[in-house]
Amino acid sequence: MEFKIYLISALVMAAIWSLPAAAISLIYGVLRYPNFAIPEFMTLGAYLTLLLCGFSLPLWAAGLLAAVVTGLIALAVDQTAFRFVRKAGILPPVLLSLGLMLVLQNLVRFGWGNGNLQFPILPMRPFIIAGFIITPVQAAIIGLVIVILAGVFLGLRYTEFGRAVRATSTNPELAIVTGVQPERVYGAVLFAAGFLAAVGGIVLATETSLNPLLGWRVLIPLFAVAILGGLGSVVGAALAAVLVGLTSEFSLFILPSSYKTALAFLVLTLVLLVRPSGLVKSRS
Amino acid sequence: MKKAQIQSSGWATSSRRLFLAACVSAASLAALLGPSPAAADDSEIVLGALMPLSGAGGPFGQEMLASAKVALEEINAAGGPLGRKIRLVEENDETNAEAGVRAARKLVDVDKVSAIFGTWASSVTLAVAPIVQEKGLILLSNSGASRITEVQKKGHVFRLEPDDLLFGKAYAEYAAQQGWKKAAVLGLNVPFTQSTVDALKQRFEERGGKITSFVTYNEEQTTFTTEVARVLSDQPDFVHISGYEPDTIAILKAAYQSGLTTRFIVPGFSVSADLIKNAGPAADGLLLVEEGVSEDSPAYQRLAKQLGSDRYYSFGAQAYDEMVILALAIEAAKSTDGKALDKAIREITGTGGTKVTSFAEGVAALRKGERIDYDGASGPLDFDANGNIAKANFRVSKVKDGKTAPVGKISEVQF
Repeated sequence: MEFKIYLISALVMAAIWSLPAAAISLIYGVLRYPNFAIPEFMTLGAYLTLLLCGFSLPLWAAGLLAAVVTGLIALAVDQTAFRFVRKAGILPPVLLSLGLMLVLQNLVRFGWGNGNLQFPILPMRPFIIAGFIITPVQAAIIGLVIVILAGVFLGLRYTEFGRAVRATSTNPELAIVTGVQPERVYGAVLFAAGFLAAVGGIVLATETSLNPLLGWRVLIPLFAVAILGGLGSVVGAALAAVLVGLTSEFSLFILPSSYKTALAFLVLTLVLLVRPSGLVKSRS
Repeated sequence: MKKAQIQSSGWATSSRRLFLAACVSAASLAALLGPSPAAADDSEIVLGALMPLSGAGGPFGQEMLASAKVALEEINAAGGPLGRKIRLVEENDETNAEAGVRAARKLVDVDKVSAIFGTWASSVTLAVAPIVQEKGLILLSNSGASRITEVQKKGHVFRLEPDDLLFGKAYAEYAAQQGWKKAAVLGLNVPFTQSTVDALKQRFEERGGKITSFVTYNEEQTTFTTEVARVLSDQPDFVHISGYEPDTIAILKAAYQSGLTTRFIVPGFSVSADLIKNAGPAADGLLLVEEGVSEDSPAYQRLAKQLGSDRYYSFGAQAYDEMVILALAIEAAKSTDGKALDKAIREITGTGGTKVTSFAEGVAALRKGERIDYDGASGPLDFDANGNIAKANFRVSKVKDGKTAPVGKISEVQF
């Protein structure tokens, strides 16, 4: 009984972590810097969803639209601010992303206040399949995240544009010589990252509540997951999220709950000792 | 009026009379010519209301200010302490320590207040207390953190809100009342959880109960299903959540969505009306323990009549009492000096005197030379050696279909 509850909880947790971690990985893989604004795009996506729900859209539609808008905002910021520091090494974009993090967080505070808000859906009682206790929303969340991850994976692997992204990630100079337009690739990557982060934020807010620190609170564990997955790999990020979810939930059998996060880092350390480049080696 | 006092203060020589007359007419002329900067009229007593009128404590601050004004009117209608009117200066601490310090400095240095009351967030009280102690004034607060006790030991600072420890005891007393034997605790990993839970554990064990599990969690946690399952595996009679609003709501949802049911008990300050609305069916049956009031006391009834009796004014009652205590202490001390007030506050609230429930009654008794014991709107108000409420009342309410209704009382909880 308890085991099955833990398992579902671990899967929900993995679903929450995997998309924003994949967003961090994508940006790192192609643009070579850790973007600290990703957690704030989670927050922004959740709040935009709330805004759209106010126009009596159903939650799934509002969420989808908000994720697209968040992606566009990420794209716009990249093309206006980040574009000019492309050649300046790693530090300027990192600092820019830190600044963006603070701006986004305080915009949300300004717009919606510091209180706790909720999406207009009431919590549901679960249904039980083969002893597994899961609510319809949780089932939908896990399904949706798998679909999105598969979409990103297949898109990168089998489409023309995906190839361009991978080429830019592996060898930018060579990619340009063969006719890839790097700015297009960068823009697309940022749009995708904003979209993924927003979906992660919406999912997190559905399970908990909205407040301006929604993303900020998960910043560090999120990066742990991204690093564990081997920065630059979407599949790695997803695997790492599942691994961290399982270890931290099942750790409750032997450890107090407040060690959950510490344990995530222990796993990170152990894996990196064995595989210094993370679970899945990105092709760079 | 000051001028009138001067005129009636004996007439020695005609030259002095002329001089005074000249002064008086000059003063009246100045008054006629335009608004002169009002010199501090030492016939009125200035008190500072430093309250959270915005920020997290906003709703409570507004209620406290309205309640303090009810007390102010009663006090001034009865002629005020020592026959002097009280003037109230309002400042907003924004539920923020830094803003609180700025406002306190202004109250102390510019308005020259004799006392400050109404700080609500513990962080604000801890930041403002040193300013008040340095100037030898008085601070009455509405904060719960146990750390404040240490500050109060230095004198001049009292609080009308029960210490967090008393909350812990109150949960235990209520559970014992209900005949519950097994408790579980889910607590945010912060100092106040530790102190509250220690108090709960000690008192609950004294009453023959047992804490079956104590699970702490961190702020950055995203899912709580496993923690809830963990504490419920021992089938406790109730679960106490010691945390803030975001985690409380996430836990309630996690329990509901995993199909589990239990009794949750939480402090009143960790849930807002919004939480109850937002959590919907997940909040059904939630028990809230709030700082109580003396609902049957004439003081509380007067206050509720003024503010409308549709709500429960726990912090409002405290603010009302703070105002009355300060006024009575000034009367008893025959001065506004902080040292004298520090002593007088204990004298007029402590047990053994004539029981009074309003400023007017208190003043009448004091002028007859009696000792008094003010029992206020928020409770019997007896301070212990450290400036804490020695015995606190609590109220228990239950959430049903998005509404809260009182279901019980926990009276006179002691350390």
